[in-house]
Amino acid sequence: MKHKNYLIYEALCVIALFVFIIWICATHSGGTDKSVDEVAAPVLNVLTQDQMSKKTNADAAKAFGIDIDKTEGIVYYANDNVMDVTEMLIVKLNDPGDANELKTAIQNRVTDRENLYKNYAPEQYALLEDSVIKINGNIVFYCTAVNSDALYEAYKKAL
Amino acid sequence: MVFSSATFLIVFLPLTMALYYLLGVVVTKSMAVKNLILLVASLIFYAWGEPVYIILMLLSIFFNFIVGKDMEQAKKMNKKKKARSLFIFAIIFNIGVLGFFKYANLFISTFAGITGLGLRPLNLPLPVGISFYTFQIMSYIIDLYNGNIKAQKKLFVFALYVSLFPQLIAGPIVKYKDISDQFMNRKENWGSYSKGMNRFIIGLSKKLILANTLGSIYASVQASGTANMSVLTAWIGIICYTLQIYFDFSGYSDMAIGLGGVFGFEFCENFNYPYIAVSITDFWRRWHMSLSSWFRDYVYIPLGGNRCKVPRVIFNLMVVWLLTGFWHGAAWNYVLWGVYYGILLILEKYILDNLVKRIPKILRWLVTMICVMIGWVLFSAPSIGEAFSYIGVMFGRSAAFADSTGSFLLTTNFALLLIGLACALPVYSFLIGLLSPKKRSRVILALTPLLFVLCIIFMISETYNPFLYFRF
Amino acid sequence: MEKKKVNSKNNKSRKKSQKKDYYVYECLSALIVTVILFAVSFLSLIGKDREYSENENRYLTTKPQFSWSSLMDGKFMDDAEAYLSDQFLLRDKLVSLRTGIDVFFGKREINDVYIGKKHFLYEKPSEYNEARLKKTTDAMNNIRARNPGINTYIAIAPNSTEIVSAYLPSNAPVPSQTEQIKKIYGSLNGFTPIDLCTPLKSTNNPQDLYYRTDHHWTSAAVDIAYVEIAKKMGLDPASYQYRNLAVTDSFRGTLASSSGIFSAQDTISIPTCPLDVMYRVTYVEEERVTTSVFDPQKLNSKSKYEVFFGGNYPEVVIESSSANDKVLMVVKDSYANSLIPLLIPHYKKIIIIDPRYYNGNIQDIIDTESVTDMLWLYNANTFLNDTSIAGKFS
Repeated sequence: MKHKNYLIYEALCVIALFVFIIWICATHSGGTDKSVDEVAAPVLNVLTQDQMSKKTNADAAKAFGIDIDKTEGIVYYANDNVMDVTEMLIVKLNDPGDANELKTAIQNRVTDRENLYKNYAPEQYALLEDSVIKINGNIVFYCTAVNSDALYEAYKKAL
Repeated sequence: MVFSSATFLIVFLPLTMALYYLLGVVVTKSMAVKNLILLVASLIFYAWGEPVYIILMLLSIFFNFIVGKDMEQAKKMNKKKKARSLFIFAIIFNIGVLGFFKYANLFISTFAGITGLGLRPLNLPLPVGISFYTFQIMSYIIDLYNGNIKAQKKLFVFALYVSLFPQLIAGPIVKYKDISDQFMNRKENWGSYSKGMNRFIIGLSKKLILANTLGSIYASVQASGTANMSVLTAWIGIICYTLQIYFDFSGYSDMAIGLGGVFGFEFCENFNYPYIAVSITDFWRRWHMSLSSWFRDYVYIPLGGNRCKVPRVIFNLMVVWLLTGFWHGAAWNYVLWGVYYGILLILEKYILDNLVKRIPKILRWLVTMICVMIGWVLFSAPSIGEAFSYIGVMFGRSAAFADSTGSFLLTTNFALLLIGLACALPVYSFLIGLLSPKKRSRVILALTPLLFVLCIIFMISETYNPFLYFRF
Repeated sequence: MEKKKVNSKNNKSRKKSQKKDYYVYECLSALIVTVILFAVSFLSLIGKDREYSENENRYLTTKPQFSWSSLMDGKFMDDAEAYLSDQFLLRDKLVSLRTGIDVFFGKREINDVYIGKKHFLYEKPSEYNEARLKKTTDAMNNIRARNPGINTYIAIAPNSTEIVSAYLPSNAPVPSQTEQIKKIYGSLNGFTPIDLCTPLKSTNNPQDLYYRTDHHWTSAAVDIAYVEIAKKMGLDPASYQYRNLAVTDSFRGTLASSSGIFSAQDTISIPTCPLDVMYRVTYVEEERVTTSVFDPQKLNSKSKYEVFFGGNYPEVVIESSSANDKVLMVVKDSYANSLIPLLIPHYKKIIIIDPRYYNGNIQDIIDTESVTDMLWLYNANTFLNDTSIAGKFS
């Protein structure tokens, strides 16, 4: 039987594994060095079709229970009409370790509002159900909107 | 993808079956075509749930396939040292992958907690089924190194062994040596098809009709918190969980074995009425048998097994049970659960052995069941502290023995609990044994289709349906 | 000897035929299952999609849009699963079959609804959460302290579990809301408490006080509560002679929807309008003005209870031609919707605030509108769960 050298394949596998691990860690915990406004800018271009307006950091803190001291920047847009649940929030955190906590807070708000609108305004409820909440390292993105997918796409590209 | 999902039942399964039987069995009659169809289906099945981690699985497959060939070559050329280092290399690779993706987070957060360092966890999602397929791969590598089997020559057959969708994500853990013949020599026939189909429906019913319903009861008990829980409520809760986890897991094994039969495979059994066990040793001979036998063959016996001095045997047992606990999940309560069983088994083996034999069987069964249920509290609680306070309530540390919550749970779920018990203990087989053989066959004709329709009803009326044993 | 052999041979062949018999039936049942599997699959794939589910009161998932990114992050798969189960053949029938099976096997609690006797459905009582309640009552005490000149009343209505106990499923765990409400009243300072439990409990037909399929109270209960509230607030209920007129008898409410049990229907009645008083209703946020507190269009929809005011709105103002010049502010949940119409002739102006949807500053309204009376009107379950009073007024 002819002797075959498999070492090269084995080495390739190990290298590929390391590349995969680095890549997956980067995509799952990698945040961004851009400022929150830089990330938000392209998203806002998509947002203009909705009637949302810019809200202050204090509004965001009140709505979501965010501790402003823990953030590096907040972009918060919400609908002025109280019967319209659409809103969008991008937060850059000082410590990515706080991301899960913020995500839970956002989720709680969404659930609260779902319960509120459930037997009352099915269209709004449907929008809330389709909310997008994503963590990318030090950045947390959340939106409830008619075009939430498009907003999320724009956000992902902006990272 | 899970077997109890609409995507699987409406699209994936019919499509795979149709392709397999039309193209593979009827038209080409070629084993290669059949295997290729199954491989493609399995990869889609996995990618559907883990579109990213399929890369990891493919890497694992390719690496182990190559190492397997290399190792066999080295052995043939009598290069023992090379074979040995290849073997160690492969084991490190596989355990490393499993360890990194499954346990890195636990170690990082525990380490950070102890040292107070501000390390942040990786937040990587766990690849579904990684514990199962890694163990299957390791059975191949270890048996190959020990010379029990020959290396697989075809990459796609090896890939099919690892990824075969019926048992890919929740077992049974099929050893390569047990199944290697079936890839090239298996015959699909009516017998194995219909047996498999019936088995699949039984498993699906266990999961959808029993496990999910019982699970929701335990979830509501657990969510209510131990502060105001009565003894009765705690017991109903844990009995429901005990039944749920059995139906969940054995149901999944039934579905796997059944689907295997549909495609002509014969997998090993995984459960044998574990809840009639009269000792802990007996219980582990009946519960998740493919895992126990994996640990026995590849850890316990290589460590020396029973054939050593007592302290060494105790050490061996503890290693096996620590690992068994760890295998079940990346959290310390699983480790505790494993250690708990290790201690119980050692006690049974060395101290209680003589005593146990004198106790009536029914009492032994009762004690075993209580031990098992305490085990499930450790297993299911969100934290070790909560597990202990739940156990406390079970044994009387509560304001009330029974309250209206408990009696409401009991009366409104009485029928379900009875049905659950009847199915978990061999009552059904006993009852059907009373019938004449002719009637017995009539029963199966009516039962399976009825169960299938019920499954569809339960599946559609359920919105939330995660499989418990999934994140292993 | 011979005979024995023949016998055992017979036995063997019989066993063999039995085994064969079993095998045939096993194959047959597998065949039936296969046929069902393929039939279901085929029918679901050619079936027409529904957009909206009446029973579930929501939009159903439609065909998922394919894109690489939705595939990579798993969204496509989730959507596909939701789509397949949402659009499943005879979905509504299957769900109601499931409920039937559950009830048949003794289940009496589905999705937080107790299944009572005589088609009576109950909302599962809310938990009494001290910490949450404290936040609410603190916020209320705060408002009270800031407006010492306003007569402030609190009325918390008990729910059906408290009043219609005869039809509760056996052993159903229900706390005493009478006690809970007493405790809440005790922690409020300067509020005139209005006890609705005693008068509601002392009627002969408590089952008429609540809808069987909905969590609201009926006009019969409102009549009793109105008299009680009027007494405490110094109004003369006799000055407003009204009758209740049934407007629909096919009401299937929220409890029917959540439990999936649609076996009963309820009747909704509305009071006749005061003869001598005209009024105007302004929906402030919506910038809409009407001349009726009733929205008959809602009687054609599923949520027929919304015939009162058309549902819940953040701020509604009723101005009437009443000779009285008092201004009432009602802070309320949906139980109040059916009671407020009876208060119209007693006030010049009624400002209705629903804190769950209202985002403004009520102190501004209190000041600019010179509110003279304030009524907090809730039902126990909503009040116990409420976080919006604390969230918005503290």
